[in-house]
Amino acid sequence: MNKQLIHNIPLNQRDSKKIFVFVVVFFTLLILSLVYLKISFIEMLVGLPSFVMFFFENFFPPSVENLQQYIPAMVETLGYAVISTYISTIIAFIFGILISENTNKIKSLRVITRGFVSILRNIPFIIWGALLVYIFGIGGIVGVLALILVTIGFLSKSYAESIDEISGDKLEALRANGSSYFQILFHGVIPQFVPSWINWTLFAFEINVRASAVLGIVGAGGIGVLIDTNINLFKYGEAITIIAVFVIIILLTEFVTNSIRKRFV
Amino acid sequence: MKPLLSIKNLVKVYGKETRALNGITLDFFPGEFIVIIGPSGAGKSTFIRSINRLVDPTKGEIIFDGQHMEKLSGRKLRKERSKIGMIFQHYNLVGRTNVIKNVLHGQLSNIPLYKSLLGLYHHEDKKEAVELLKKVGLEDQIYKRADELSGGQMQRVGICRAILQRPKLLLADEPIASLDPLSANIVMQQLHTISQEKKLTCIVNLHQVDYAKKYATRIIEIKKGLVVFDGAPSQLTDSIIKDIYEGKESQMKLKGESETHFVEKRQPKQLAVGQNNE
Amino acid sequence: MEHIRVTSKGSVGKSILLVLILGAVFIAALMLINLDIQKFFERLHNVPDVLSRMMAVDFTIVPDALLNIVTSLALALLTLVVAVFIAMFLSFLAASNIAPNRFVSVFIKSFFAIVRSVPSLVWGLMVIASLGFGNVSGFVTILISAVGYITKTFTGSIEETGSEIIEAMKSTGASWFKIVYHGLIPLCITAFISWITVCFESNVSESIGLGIIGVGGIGLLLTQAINTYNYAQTTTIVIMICLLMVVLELVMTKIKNNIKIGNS
Repeated sequence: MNKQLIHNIPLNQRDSKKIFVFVVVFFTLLILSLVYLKISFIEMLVGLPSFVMFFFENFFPPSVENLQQYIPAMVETLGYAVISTYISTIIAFIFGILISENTNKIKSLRVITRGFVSILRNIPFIIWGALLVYIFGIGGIVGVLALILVTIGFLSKSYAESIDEISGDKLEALRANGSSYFQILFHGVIPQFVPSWINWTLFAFEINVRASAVLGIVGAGGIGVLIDTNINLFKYGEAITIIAVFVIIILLTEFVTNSIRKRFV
Repeated sequence: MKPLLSIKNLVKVYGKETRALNGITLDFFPGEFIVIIGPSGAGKSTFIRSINRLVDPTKGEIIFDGQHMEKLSGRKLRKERSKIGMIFQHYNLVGRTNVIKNVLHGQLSNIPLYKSLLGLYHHEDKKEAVELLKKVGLEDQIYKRADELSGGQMQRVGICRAILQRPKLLLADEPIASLDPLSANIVMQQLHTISQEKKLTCIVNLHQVDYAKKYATRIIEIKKGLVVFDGAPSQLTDSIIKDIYEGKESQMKLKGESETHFVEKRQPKQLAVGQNNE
Repeated sequence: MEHIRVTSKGSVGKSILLVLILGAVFIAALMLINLDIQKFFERLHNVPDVLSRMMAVDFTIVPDALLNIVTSLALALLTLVVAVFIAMFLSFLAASNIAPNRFVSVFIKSFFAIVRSVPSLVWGLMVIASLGFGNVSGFVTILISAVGYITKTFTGSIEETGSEIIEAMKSTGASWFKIVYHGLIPLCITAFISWITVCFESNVSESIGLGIIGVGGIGLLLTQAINTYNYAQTTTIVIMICLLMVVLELVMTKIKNNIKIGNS
């Protein structure tokens, strides 16, 4: 037997050349990014630590004197999230049905809806906010509109995927006994879809609470504008208080949504 | 006697090459309990699904109750379908809906959408649903969710649902293939009893030759998309069976009890709502 | 005539109650917020005008926009790599089935729960206050949220799939490091890569969003176009952002599918 073969028993079947090329390309890209962004290696390393230092030196201690003033804006922020989740879940459900192959056999309609939803989903949410403020002027309703658009984008796709997962087998029985399209939809599809519906919608609500907090930065209402102005006025203590209250709200929201999930899904 | 269902030269080609049915001509008469047997991939499932157009045949005629099924679409197709009950291998119940609603799904084609949504089924339908469930021994499970039942129980719900359609014809596609021997026995028995009581014409796909011999008034054997045997159970000798299952001896089940988990090769994924020009 | 119910006792009442609660929450939310609908509709007559002016594209901005897209992508990639290194380390300390110390695990998990609950734009505001405008701020901001996201998802994957292999390797007497390197990383790598692709997408999206508050890239270009009321440029840039994100989504989905196939 060949001696060399015995000594070189590869533990990996994979082509090690491929991995090598991958690593080289990867690191080249990385270094190019650094150069292109004009970030020096040292800046990269000290960036985060120096921010952390600054953070603890300037943002603490929190000042809680004006805490009560923030409550209305906080409530408003939550309200935006609730309303936009409600409205978008209904619209997204219709879109979801239109996108899923299980419930829509007309290919052109599927493609059109999918494309539309993909535009809604793919433009970052804050860009939607800025654009809508640009078109409609500032105001809370514009913020709700931005949240609705993005949530429709997100939920339609998720709903459609869940509807796709309901196997056609289960619906075959209803098809076979002469039920109409809408009867199959309401008696076959929707009951099976309810758990994922609850799950996705709660998830969207969590995202919306977080998102509605930053809408203020582009002038679309909510708590964000307070954070922005306080930081711009170097009132870091105030800013961190608002952020802390906001974090508590987020954590509470997650707690509530998780308990709803456990009960219903 | 005039046939209830007559099939003429039925052909089904999947894709370009796969010929599932190769020209089948058969007449089915009222009151018959027909069992179709044959190896898997023989086209049994395609055949039975062509009758109510869950599968669209490529060629041929299906005349059910004086109507050309292959020419129907939309509302008319749904109306004819409602006269044909069907029982599935995987039961196809709506899992998160309770048992009685699943049975009442058999009447969906007869009431408008809003009534079905509010649960406003006709009183006699509800009464019959409860009676049927009692007959199959599920009176204690009426308000249970369907996915909480065992396989045998689910299939019995499936039978009730098909019967509640008050069909003229009952199709059953491998009704006991996913069941354990004990449940299989009960399900087969109940299927037979109920269809005799209601004087239904029944077409059942089976793997188990002994069940076929026990219950059928007529046995049809399909192989490679063609009818290779059509006659009374007594005419079906062991040598004929061997011949039919030639090369597929492993599937030859003279004793149904020994077969438990045989699953027939699945058809290409069935699309769900709105197929076949509904 | 005896009534036969279709639903079990009490379930109708429950459904009605549920609908009432859901309705009440919606109405309460509507009352609590100040939607100034009247003002919104008063201004609505401006909208057709703005929209009609936006129905134009300006191709002269395209080269500039492309350069800025590269900036956004580079920022996203750089942060992704650094974040993966940091988060990989942290997630093995945080996953409850392999964590060397329970206290450390709980600490990391709760720390990042808080980090994640602050939106990245808010982190951005704070970072810019500290480090000034520029790419370094963008890098640090995205890094914070990316580390938060990856740590959480990696920890989840390790906890979900790792327990058996940990037990098996522990029984052979392997050290902590060996279990992680030879056992967990090969096992979870598919899940990890799938999370990384998701994270890259959200990094790009964040780096664009951060343009609103002054971090470089295509988002900043858009903000400038909006602020100077340059309608045609705004439209052009939005279309380009949309195309970028769609292409990115397709590529990432393809990578994810390839991994899944390669693994099975």
